[in-house]
Amino acid sequence: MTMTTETSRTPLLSFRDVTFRRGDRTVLDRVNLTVHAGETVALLGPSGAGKTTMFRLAMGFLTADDGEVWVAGRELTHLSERELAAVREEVGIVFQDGALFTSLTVFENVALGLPEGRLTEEATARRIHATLLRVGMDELSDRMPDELSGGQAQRVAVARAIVGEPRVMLYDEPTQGLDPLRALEVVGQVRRLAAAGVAGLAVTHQLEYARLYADRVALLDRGAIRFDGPVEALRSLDDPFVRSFFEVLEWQAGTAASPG
Amino acid sequence: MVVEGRLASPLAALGRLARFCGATLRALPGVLTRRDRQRELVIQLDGLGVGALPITHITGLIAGLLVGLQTKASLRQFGITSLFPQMLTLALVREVGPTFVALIAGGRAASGIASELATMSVTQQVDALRALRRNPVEQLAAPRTLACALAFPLLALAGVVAGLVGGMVIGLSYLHQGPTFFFHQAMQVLNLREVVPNLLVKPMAFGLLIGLVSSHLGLAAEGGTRAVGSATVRAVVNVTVGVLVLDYLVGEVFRRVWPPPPF
Repeated sequence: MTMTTETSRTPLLSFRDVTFRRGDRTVLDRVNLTVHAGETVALLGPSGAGKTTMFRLAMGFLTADDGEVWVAGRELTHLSERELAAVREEVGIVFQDGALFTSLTVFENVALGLPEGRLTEEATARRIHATLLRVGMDELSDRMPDELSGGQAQRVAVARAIVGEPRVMLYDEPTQGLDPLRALEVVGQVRRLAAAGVAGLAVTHQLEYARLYADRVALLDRGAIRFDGPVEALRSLDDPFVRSFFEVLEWQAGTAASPG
Repeated sequence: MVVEGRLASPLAALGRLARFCGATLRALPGVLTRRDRQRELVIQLDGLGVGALPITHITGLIAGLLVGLQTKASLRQFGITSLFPQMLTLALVREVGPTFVALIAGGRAASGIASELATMSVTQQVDALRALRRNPVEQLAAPRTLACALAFPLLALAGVVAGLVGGMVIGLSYLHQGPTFFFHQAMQVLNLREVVPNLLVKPMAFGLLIGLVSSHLGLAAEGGTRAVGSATVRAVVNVTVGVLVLDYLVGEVFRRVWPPPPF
């Protein structure tokens, strides 16, 4: 991937005082979070905290009730579906379990990541093969998703997300269900993308891997950001919820005794 | 058209269905002009059409046997068994063929479409399509709806032919009417005013209904496996009731506007 020309402090994904309600329930309450070029932020939090909602707001699948969501320099709130499609060209998304289309081959799945009609057939094929080579899946390009292991499917999902050379990457549980070797491969991919200037937001429960690829951790609880900073700073905070959450995550990862 | 579902906001649900139907119908021409959607159309025609032939033949044959038994008994009572081929043919063409086939093959199609699309929805494949700048209505719903609209007239015809075979068996076994006599008498009542509404317009309308309703319910599924099951059941129920309602409405329109000639 070519290096972007953006400085490392260019914000490419921003939530500015974002509030989102579902019926009577406030799912997100004046959330502020910014991800800069070349930076990866891991978004942690208990189930129901609002992580998926933030993810879907960043994709433009939901519209905030208040506040602004900025992606690659554009504010999403009042965009039409066609304008959102243009923004989504700048965004690569890796869904949990890959979300590959089972009726398409690996090659065809990755091809969907490219804008239609921009490249010739030969150029498209070259780009796809090059991308599959980067994730180590070029030899399996004619396989169907059902024939792939979980780790292989995740690699194809990464390839589909990066083939269009996005400026922003969204990861939904990128290491979930993977053995340590495959999970570390994904960690490597995320770090390489960040080194190339891509801004990344990863929704995850797995702190042990997040600390390997994330520059910052944001902790979401009941619709509010309770912490936003380096992983290691979690340990020393006075906030009892943040500390207990961190202890539980470390215990689940096997890096600490059971939480008190 | 929504019989089961959220009773709390039936109008809102109807509105969503109407918008979905409008978007899908607008996308139908694109299925024939774009290569990726043509491929999907062929796949769906194979699954929803060719794949339904065995059950359509069985349904039609059994319907022909059952209607044949009832028809011959009634005609024998009045001493006019010579009209057996005509009466059987009219019964099969007007109702049994298109409607029975739509109920059986339609239930198969509706459950298949709804469960497949609901599974795609709950496993985030539909979200992935939108994230990849593809319209799920154009990519998924339109090819399936067009496949149903094209396949069901052919399935109705297949069901009627199978039904006539069944009726012919009854005619031969109970009334000693040979196949040549049966075929010749049956063809006397088949004209455009019977064939067009019953073997073309009705089945095509059924196909559109089945494709639209089951695609809508499948794509609207949210949650886990329970949502897949719920979408599938709702699709079958709604399609079943919808076919019966549409059967009456289409038939009534044609009876008023373009009635069949007196027998």
